Amino acid sequence: MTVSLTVAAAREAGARRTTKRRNLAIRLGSVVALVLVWEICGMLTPRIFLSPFHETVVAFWRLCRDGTLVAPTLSSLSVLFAGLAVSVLLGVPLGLLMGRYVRLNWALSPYVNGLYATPTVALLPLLSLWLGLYIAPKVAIVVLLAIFPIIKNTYAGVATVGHELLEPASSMQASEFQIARYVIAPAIVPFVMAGIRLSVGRGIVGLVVGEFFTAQTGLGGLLIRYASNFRTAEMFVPIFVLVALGYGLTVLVAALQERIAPWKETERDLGQ
Amino acid sequence: MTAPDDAALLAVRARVRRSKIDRFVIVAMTLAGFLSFWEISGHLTNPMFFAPVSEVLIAFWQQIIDPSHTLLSGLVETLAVLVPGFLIASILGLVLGVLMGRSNLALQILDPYVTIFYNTPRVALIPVLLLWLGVGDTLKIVIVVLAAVFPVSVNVTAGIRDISAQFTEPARSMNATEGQLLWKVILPATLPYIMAGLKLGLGRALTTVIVAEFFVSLSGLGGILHAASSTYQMAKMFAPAIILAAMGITIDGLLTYLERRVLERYRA
Repeated sequence: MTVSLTVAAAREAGARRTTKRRNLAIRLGSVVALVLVWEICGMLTPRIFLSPFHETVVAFWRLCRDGTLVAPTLSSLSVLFAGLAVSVLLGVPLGLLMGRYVRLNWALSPYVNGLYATPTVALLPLLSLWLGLYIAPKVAIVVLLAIFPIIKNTYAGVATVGHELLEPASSMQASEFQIARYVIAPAIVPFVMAGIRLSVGRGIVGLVVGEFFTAQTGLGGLLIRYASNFRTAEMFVPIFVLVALGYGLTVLVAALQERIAPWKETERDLGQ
Repeated sequence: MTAPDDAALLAVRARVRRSKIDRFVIVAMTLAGFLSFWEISGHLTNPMFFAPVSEVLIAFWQQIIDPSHTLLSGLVETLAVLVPGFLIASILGLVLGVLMGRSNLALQILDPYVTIFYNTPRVALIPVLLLWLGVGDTLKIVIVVLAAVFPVSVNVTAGIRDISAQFTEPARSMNATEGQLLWKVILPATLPYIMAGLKLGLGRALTTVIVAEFFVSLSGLGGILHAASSTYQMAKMFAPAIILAAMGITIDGLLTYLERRVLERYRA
């Protein structure tokens, strides 16, 4: 009986392993196919439209080595992190206050909801008139795109803290600060992290748009420069870095969420 | 017995009504405060950089009654890109999502690309597509499709994968065909996910349309906005921005309403 069971279990594990291996093979094959198509299309079309894949790889290596890529990446990263930091530092307290004081929520939620649904990139020309062309308007546009998911998620997190959690604390004479620190904070961390995860993608869009339309710096500026000079091999390099940045940061936030708040998994996009 | 109940009920009703009045007063006061701040700061600052709200409204009205209908044609131009792009993206996203949700082969083949595109800042593709497609509506529609298709497909795939076997097994055991399974069981059960995907996709589509209009051929509402701001016509600049905001809020509200209706039916 036990023997046959273990045999069955072993067989099942083996089957699972083969499926996994086959899935990986299909994925690899699919990626290789695209690279081949890219390579062939690049050879057949004029260079000003598309370069073969290997030239992009070579260009990536060259730009990494001669340092052309380093300064724009650092410049983009600092704008992005500044914007995300401001969004978290403003958005979390705002969401907390709105969740805690219903009158404040009434006063502010029309604006928060409205701006969340509005394509705020439309404000970039105005921001650039007010704040100039360099780092300030870029950080501002990142904040305008990234802050609303954080506010709304924090607010939703506070809203989930019900009376069954709040009343025992206040009946034991917990101060407002103690309630915030020991009851509300643990409950909202997963929501805040989910909000930050949404903000990363939106923030990168803001970053790129900012770099396109104010002073052309960073990865977005590099991209424009290569595209307008028809240097199609180099053009894809900043795009790759941006994709890696977006993907890497999203994975990083997800991992952080797992570490900081493993007790609850909340995946929601609220409002948008 | 009934009398105290009625009294309690009345008290609750009165409290609800009072809180509604409170809310109305607070919203009205904040709005008044916001508008007067805008008006006053508009008068105090350099007119090259800002305009008071009264001038903005006058400019808005003038642009509406303007015989050349620049604003109206801008709106039409923007919608002519947004509507077809979003429709194509919705259908394509649904098909892609169903394929990836139902077939492991399709999932394994397409997932690397969906992951990459989902994480690509879609506006970064505008310069590339500009090279390939030139300046025109094709470029804008393609970029809108690229922006909106993946949120839809990712949500649909997640929804289908989330429907557990307890939905599909009974239908299967009653010999439902794959088509019946899809139309009668899987799609109704994934509707909430589909709605969430459409909402997300719409937000991305709107942002992308504007950036595309800033970037190529200064047309549409984004183009009008860009042109007005680069000639320092502050009051004029706000009209397209207000229309865009109204558009985003209206469509988002509509989708939220639909989503709630769908969820209600789904729960019933």
